Amino acid sequence: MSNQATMSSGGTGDKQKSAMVMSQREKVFSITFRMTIIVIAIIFALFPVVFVVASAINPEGTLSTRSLIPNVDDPSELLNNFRALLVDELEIYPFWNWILNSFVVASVTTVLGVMITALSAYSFSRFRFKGRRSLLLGILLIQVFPNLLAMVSLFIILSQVSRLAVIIPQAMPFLSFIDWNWLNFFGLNSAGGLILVYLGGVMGINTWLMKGFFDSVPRDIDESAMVDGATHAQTYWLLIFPLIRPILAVVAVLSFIGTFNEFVLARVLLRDRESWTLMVGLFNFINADFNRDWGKFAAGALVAAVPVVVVYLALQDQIVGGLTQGAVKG
Amino acid sequence: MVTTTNTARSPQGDLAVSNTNGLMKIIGIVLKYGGLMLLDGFALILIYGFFYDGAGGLAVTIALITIMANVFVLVPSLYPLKWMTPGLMLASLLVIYPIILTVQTAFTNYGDGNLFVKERVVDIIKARGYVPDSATTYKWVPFQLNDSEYALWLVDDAGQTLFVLPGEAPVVIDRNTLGYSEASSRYLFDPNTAELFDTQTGTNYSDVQVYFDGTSYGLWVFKDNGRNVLYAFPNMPIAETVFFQGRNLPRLAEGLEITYPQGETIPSSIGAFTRVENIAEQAEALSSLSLGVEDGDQLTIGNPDSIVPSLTGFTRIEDWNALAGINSLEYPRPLGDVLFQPIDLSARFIYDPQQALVNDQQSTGAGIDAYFDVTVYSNGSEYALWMIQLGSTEPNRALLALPNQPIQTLTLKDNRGNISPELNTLNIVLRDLTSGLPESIGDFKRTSSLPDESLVLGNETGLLKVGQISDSDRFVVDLEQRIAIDRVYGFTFNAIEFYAKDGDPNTIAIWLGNGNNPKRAGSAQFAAYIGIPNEITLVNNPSRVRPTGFIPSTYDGYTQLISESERTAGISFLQTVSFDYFGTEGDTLGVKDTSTVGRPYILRYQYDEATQTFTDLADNNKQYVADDVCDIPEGAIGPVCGFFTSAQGDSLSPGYRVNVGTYNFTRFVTEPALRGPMLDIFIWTVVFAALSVLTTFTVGLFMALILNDPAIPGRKLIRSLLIIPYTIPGVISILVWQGMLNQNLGFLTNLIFDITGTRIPWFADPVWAKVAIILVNLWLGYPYMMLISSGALQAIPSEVYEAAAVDGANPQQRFWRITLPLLLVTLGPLLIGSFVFNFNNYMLIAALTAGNPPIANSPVPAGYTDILISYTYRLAFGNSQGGADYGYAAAITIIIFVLVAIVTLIQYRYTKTWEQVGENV
Repeated sequence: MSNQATMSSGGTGDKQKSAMVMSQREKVFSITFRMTIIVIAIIFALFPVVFVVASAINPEGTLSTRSLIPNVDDPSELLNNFRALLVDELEIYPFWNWILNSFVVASVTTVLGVMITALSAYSFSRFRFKGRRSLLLGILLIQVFPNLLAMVSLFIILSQVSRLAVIIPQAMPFLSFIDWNWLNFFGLNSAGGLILVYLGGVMGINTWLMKGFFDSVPRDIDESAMVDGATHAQTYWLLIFPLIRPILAVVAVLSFIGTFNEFVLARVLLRDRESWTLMVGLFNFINADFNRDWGKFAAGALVAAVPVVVVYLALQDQIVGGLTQGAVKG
Repeated sequence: MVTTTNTARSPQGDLAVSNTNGLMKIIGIVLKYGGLMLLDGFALILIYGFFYDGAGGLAVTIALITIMANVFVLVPSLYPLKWMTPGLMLASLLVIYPIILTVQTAFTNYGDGNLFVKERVVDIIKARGYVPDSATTYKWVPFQLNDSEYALWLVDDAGQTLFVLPGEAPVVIDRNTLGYSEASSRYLFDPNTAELFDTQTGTNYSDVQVYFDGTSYGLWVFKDNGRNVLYAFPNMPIAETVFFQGRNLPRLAEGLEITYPQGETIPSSIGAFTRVENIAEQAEALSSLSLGVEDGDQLTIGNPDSIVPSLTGFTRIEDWNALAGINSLEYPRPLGDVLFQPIDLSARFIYDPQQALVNDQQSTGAGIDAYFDVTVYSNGSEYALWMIQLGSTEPNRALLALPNQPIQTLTLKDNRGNISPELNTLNIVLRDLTSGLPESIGDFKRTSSLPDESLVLGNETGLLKVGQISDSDRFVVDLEQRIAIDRVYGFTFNAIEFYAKDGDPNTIAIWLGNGNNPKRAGSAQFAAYIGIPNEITLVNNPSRVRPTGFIPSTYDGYTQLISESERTAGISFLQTVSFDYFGTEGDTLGVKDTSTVGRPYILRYQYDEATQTFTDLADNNKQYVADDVCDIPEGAIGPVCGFFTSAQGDSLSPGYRVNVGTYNFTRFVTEPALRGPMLDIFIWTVVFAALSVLTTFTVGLFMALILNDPAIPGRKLIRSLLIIPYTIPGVISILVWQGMLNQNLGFLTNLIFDITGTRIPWFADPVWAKVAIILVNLWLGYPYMMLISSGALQAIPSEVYEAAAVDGANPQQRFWRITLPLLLVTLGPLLIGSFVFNFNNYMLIAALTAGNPPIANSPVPAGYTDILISYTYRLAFGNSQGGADYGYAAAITIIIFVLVAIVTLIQYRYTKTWEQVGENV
């Protein structure tokens, strides 16, 4: 009834007039109105980003700094925080260690996780077997169990693994010719242990999504291959896998970013400063002395976030496609 | 859709067999069985290892998982599951097993205080020992061989000295073999001057009180400016105790209760002894005084002037002219080189321009804070020095020396990290806090020119003069003034003697006594050393716990831990191994208190398996009975069970795990104390999750609708800009928001303050904290909603709108009747998914508010912004208040799980996704 612009439409209109036909004046008004909203939204969206960038390049480096534009004599001072973080103060903040840890954890989890999930999803998509539905449902339910609170058990499991390097030679002296210390890599406080924990949950997250992709590949392809004498393994690796590779790449990117950004589990399981991932490191040095290290935190945040943002923006169309099929983040 | 029943087909079932396929098959079989054998072998090792280590549950789990893997691979009909084996194995170990453990935990009282199973707790309590009252007690000093091998030097009340190594019987040490002979009586009392002299440290005490009970005398001596008291009474060892101006000392021993006059620290009477006002009148009677115990510390009458230690095989040098021409003497560590140099005691600080170092000769530290990194400032005619503590990477304090002003220590930052106002009053401009260097100090500017040797800064409270500092001149003796200093610890020694070796007058031993550093606390204020060249340095330990007599700096290859840092490291090691590590079986040492150990150390609790009762031998055979039955007293937090409890109600720690049934699930109903926060938190969790979905979806959909019109210029760019919040790692965004909303310093808070004049208490006020959470979550979440909405909008066919337009629907009607319902059908599952996600959005709460502000009077830690999962996390991983309660946390976890699982099931039951599972796609 009203002539006001509403959320739904573009612009004004009344009963008589079709929405498809609008006068020039109304069109201009509508566009102006929308652009105003868009500008407000962009300010809301980007304000914190601008604030982080301003903090990162401000050599004063405290939270209490009020001006967004740093006051420096020498432009090279703009990089003070980055220099401190990446070059000068490595013994206080082992920043490169954190970057390396994050990359190792995220890439190994992604590669293994995608393989494991793709195999399961292929099976769910191509075979009909007893218990298939319950298994799919089980995987779905496991996913919603608050993993965070299984932490006590995870902690105990990983600390038991950490003891194995000592226990195995004790319990089985005939095996002591092997150096079992490599097992520590899968224990507490190490990237391997964290990767194991992530991989444990990986099936729950992506199997459904991937099964959808496999379902979209016509079955005639595998059937004709089978007729030609190919085994399931051959069909999978030589035919299906290349077909879904593009979508696997998107899942891999999402999984990489998700793991890279994860901090709740990592914070509990990684105790030593050197073993932290980037997110744990950033969180902790903010917690330690919030005000003092603000500039360095902002610099670190930029270093960590910029690659992720760039990847997202570059692949946004593919990622949006993946999102609407199954929520990965959000 | 064709519904072929393509049953599982084993690879062996394939018909085509060519040569290559044959080879492939062989390789495949080798890989399959070889891989399985490797896996099984490794699993066996793990299973046995875990069993051996007492982790039976884990061992069984691994065994089951391994069997599962073997079955999946070997049984042909389970061929489809073979594909999932790696995923299922990992999920079983790291998801399903923890879930089972969590369920199990929910029915127990597992938590801080009840961490172990009963058998383990019995073993722990059984192993506890105690030092009986009749035991011999020792003061101790740690010695070290290397990082993990330590020894103890023990001195008992009678003066007997022992050296104890782990696992070996103690060795009795004859102290006379150490190279010097002790005076037969350690303490000398001079009735004429009423002064007490300690021959082992060379210290003279003048603040002595005499007490008399009609037949015998007792002495009370204030030490260390009244911090400690030394007392000597008949029939008991001479001892020292902490005094602290009388705050902590009601009695010296049984029967020696102390009476203090109103407002005074000098006792008027001690037991039956009353204070002698005029000591001089009693001098005659006191001249036959003898106190203390045989073979131990004794107190006799004597004159300190003639008493110095006598060294075996050495003769005291009376005439110091014999030392002329000597520049330095060399002794074993820690004395090292002792230099002969004039000492200027008025110059507390020595400045060495060559090294840009300043040495504080009265330093109280371990040497490292004696040196400062020096920068020179000048106003043209005069100089000023600015020094930063060496070894501190982020300087907090600086030392400032100006002409004719006291040398002062300045704080650079206040506790919030801002530049300290102290600096403003001195007109000091700091360039930045990282280097801590001032641009200028008043009218003094930085200069590169160095002052000459005549520079004197400071005033009568302490001077800074130019001199040379070298690492080796820790101990310096001034023969003229008869004083010596220890530049590392800041001791000044004024009782000094030299001894020449009989038959070798060039070998000179040294005694440095009455070392005093008034800035150090307690007995650490005093030190004394004896140095014998090429043999040994004896230390009268300048530490808080000082057993009687000189102790060698090295013994049997072990080194005494003297400096504070060495001692701290050593003591923390000793605490980890516990003292029963020392001595042989049945004759070990036990801790009595921080400064003494006792021997023997015997088992304290006797356990009777049949009645499950502990008997406490140290406390009148008190009985502690196992309490396995959980009763819940009114108003208590948590069940009281799983402890060994006495009839009086006190219990032995630690407790053990017992089954508490469904108690953890009914607690928030049965315990009123828990009901309050639980209800609030539950309501807030639902409100938070619902509001988050509502706000993000509204804004996201709104933006998607606006951007849906092709007439908007630069749509792609705008969309890219608007999804940036979604792309930034969540932790980082949340922390940035936390910074912007900081109540005192936050950029946004200040901006709002400048505009409206109101300072919003974002994190201190419950309502504002909730607003902040919703606001930040809106920022984080709307781009996702925008993305999925715009995808769904494009999927709505335009014919629908055209038909509606023909029917005369206005834009509002079109939105509410067509667009929204269609969108909700498509996006419904995702919205429910978002609700579930936010229901458990631990990261947002933990990183933004940590659940704060806290709910006052809550019996368990809880905050106004806590959602269920963050509240549970607090319960499980505990903090100071209440400690971890895994049982209760596990119960809440299961409740959360059930709630979320129901929502998820409903979601999938009524969506396409579910149909896809139902049908054979």
